[in-house]
Amino acid sequence: MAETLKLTIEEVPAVAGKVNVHIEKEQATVRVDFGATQDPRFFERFLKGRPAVYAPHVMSRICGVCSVVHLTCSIEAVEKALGVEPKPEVKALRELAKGFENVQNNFVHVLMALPDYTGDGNVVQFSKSHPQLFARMMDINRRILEAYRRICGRFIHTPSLGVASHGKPITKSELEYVGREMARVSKELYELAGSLAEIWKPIAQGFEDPAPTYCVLKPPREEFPMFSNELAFSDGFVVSAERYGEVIEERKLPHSNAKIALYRGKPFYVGSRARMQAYFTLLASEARELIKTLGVDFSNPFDNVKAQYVEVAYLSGLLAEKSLELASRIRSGVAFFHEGTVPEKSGEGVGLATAPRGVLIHHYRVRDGKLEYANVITPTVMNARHIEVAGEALVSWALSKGIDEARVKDLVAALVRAYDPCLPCAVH
Amino acid sequence: MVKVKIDGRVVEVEPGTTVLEAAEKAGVEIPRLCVVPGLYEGSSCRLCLVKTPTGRLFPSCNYRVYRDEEFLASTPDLWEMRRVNFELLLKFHRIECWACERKSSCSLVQLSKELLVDGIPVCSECPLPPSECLLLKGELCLGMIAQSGCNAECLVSGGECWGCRGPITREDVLERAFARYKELGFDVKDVVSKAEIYWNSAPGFATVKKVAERVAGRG
Ligand code: SF4
Ligand code: SF4
Ligand code: FES
Repeated sequence: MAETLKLTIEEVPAVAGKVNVHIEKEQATVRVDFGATQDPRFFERFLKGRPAVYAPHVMSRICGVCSVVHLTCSIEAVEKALGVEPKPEVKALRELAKGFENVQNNFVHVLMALPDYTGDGNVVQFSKSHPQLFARMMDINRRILEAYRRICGRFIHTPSLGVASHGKPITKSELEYVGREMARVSKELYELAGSLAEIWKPIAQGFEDPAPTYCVLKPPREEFPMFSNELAFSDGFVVSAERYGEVIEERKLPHSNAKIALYRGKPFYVGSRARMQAYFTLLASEARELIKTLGVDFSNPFDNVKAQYVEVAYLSGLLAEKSLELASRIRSGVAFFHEGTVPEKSGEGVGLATAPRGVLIHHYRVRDGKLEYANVITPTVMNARHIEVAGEALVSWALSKGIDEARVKDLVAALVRAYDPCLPCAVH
Repeated sequence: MVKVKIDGRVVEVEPGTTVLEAAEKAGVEIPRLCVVPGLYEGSSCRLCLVKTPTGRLFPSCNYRVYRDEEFLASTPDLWEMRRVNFELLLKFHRIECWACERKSSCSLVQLSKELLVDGIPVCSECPLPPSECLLLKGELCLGMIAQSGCNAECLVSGGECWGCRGPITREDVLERAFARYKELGFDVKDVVSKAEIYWNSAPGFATVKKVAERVAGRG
């Protein structure tokens, strides 16, 4: 293989948003270009001087795919800044909504990425070669969405959640339905694992992540966290939300409108692969068993997708428990959790949330109820540099194995897809 | 029996049947407002206009057929005339859906959707009765000044309206809406500032701002 290998992938297929990849063997570099073709949207700036309580509604528009995480993370940040404490039921419903998004969103990501592992190449082909499995997965997705609607009403950009409020009225029987349905979904996902394991081949077996540092939310209690006040890194370092800036540095890239984030100057990763390692001891025994069944190799970035599947199965079960628990706490009939007005105070708040693809940070400074400063760091931004270093190592690894150029390109594209199916939030 | 042909569909009806009834039988949709079978024989609202192939116009609710005849009921010019007629009628209607107890069963609201007229606010579709209106709880909902048609999506899911479909521009409705905001203790400026998020470049926003200023200026 020539030393001056130069490969370009214009627009990695099967991801939302345009991503170009440039591979240059000479300097052994992989450049994953998220934002060259996308204009910045100035989300962090255009709310300046407007009421902080508007932030969740507007900030959730950063992404239409994972809107709930931006919405809820923004709500957390505003509540912290204004010193508002939501009712326990409101918080519980918010955690349910957030959990649902992780389940639904990552499940669809698994479905979209799976053809890379089964050799089908794309979802259409996959649906033809595994019609029954595909139909079953689609049905599961539909049922997850149906249950989700009971909590949040409209699915995309739900208007239900707000600062210290959950607007959609909820009945006890709705919550019970959600509990039953999600328990069934979880059970089915565990059952499905056997047939999935048969077709779910490893990619780049033996390839090791060159930068194995990761970041997750530190669980505030012994439970998979949706929100937290602390970040935890795999090297054992824990930092409070307000001080994220001391270790996470965000840089604007010279060649695009996207940003990258580094942990003490080095790349790190976020997402299900990180979470399933960090929260291993918190998982139900079935989930730990599932990690074995699927043969998840946490040192291989491609196995993020398998980790997502484990997480989806586990979280579905957790959501079922949580819904039933909440149902037992509310009396029959309809419950409203609307709070009305919020104080116009000053303060600063950093919200941390578990996004489907990793850790999300919303940081606001508020003066007299008006937003003065906003900073958002998305999981895609955190993973951006990691994808590049992993990509570089992958290219060297593949070339040393004598893998041909066309396959190298496929591998790099599959690597991008294994992290994230959608990238517009890298530019916000 | 006589044969009636409406928009190409033929039905057989008793002599003396109205064209409106014949159309119903043929499955052709014609809007109507004033006719109440057995109670009021119609001819007032002119929303049920149809025409003959030669272009003669008349209200279908009050035209009876006694011989084989042909009518057109769905041409674009008929819909346009119905819309204009409806807008003229609505001019005399004090639109205040936010305070109306009967909004969920209102035929004006129904028709306004079919005929795409301006001036009907999201409140018309809001599932909350006037006594539960979010404005009464201090939440700034833009439903009163926002174009309806979404079936109050956000209100149904427990949120407030942000006017994502654009403003209504009928000034008298806007006037009453802003007066109501003021009466309930909202600062008109805050309303406009919230509306700006979706409407900054919307065509009707200038009218909204003009009316807001006028209402704010009044003592
Ligand atoms: S809640 Fe909003 S949409 Fe409903 S009646 Fe009140 S102002 Fe109108
Ligand atoms: S914000 Fe849009 S979708 Fe929601 S109620 Fe208002 S007009 Fe309808
Ligand atoms: S229904 Fe009113 S004129 Fe025919």
